[in-house]
Amino acid sequence: MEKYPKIPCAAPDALLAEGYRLWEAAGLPPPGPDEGDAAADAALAMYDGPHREAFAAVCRCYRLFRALHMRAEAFPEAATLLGDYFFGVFSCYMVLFDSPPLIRAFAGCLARDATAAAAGDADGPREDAMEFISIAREALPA
Amino acid sequence: MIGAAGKLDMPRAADIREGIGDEALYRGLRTALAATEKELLRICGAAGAERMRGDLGRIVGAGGKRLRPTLAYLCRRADAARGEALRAVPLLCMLELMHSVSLIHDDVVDDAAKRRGVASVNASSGARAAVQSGDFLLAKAMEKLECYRGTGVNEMLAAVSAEMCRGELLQQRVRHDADAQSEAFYYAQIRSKTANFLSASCRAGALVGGLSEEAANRLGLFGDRFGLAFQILDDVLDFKAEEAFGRPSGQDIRNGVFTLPALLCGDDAVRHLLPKRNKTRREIRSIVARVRRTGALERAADRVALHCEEACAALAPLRDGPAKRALARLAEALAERAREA
Repeated sequence: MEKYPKIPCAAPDALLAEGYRLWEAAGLPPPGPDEGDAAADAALAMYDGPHREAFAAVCRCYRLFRALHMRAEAFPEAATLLGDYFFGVFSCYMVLFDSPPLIRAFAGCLARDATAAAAGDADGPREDAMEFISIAREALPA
Repeated sequence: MIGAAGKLDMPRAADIREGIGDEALYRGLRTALAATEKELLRICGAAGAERMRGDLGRIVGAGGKRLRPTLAYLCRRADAARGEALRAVPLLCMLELMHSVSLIHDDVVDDAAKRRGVASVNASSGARAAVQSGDFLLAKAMEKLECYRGTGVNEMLAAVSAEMCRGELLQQRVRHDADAQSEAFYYAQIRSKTANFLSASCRAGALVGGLSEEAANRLGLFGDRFGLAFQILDDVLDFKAEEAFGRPSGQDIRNGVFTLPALLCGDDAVRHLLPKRNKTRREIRSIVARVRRTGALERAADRVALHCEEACAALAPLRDGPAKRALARLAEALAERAREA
């Protein structure tokens, strides 16, 4: 029996599946092992509360969005647009959560990481790529 | 109505005092847009790196039509409120931030040197900085989501955001592909890229204003038809860019995007030339000249007029008032511009 009732994720789940198809069609190198799956797994490991799977999806999409945008110099068209797409899917899951603390947590992470990445060199995000998960987890009920 | 940047320059509702016809509404709109500008510039100034502050301040501060916030504001007042009206300025900011991000990121995709008459972020600071600057603005847009929980606005804007990107990705994939780019595909694309967002802006304004679901749907329909007209006209003007703005016509054709005038022209030579990659300037000029000779621009302009009529018809059931009239005036101005084109 489910521990908590699920929030309906059919629409963003379909968008997420579409995102992977668009990724393949764009001809980009596929997601790395430390990207989407790893973020979702880490989120599930950290959080056992309500809407757990939606939280994993939020983290997956956020990680994919950021990873793609870090590749924009190498693949300006595909990585920029696909990253924006995954941000859109991330947003769709986020509104289902309807959690102002979670919104603030992610907005803060994104503002900091984007600022640091804009000024940084080409070696990837300036902070630990998964740090956002623990920050976001803090925003959810214990 | 051609702006300095050589793009469709709609008369801003804030500047059409006579068209609005109501001093209180006009003052309200001007005040709301001024507050929005102030917040946008504050956000740009809050970026944690000097270069990003400069880049964002330059792009956002260069102006722009502020069409989405204007539509949202007018829609908020376009019918009787049935429920509580929420603050408008966070929504207006969110819409303009989303639009700014799409412009900054589009410039990366298109490797564009200028935006709104000033250097694009990617031209001044590189693709990486441009993408990340846009992401900073996304973070700031997210902060506004709290204001509209439970209204349906956040869900709608999130869905529109994903759809816009999906449309762009599909378009990138079928560039130069004449078989894929049918008229139906074109309409689906301009819905994804333009009309959906304008429709959502209108609908969001209505929801924030506490209007009924029916009124919100009507205003969403207005935004959809207005958005179609707006994009088609923009595409028509691309064929006249040389004499109107002093820049080469046919940029869409060069990029392998077949807009409505090219699709309507029915000229065999054009059909043969369109899919060719790396067209010479002469070939593009030839296509533009042929499209113009067949009357395709006029036929596309007729579609603009048709969609403007549809937009105005969508408003008909709403209560008569200054905001409704101002929206109709915007649609009429677009149709007039199409007749002049």
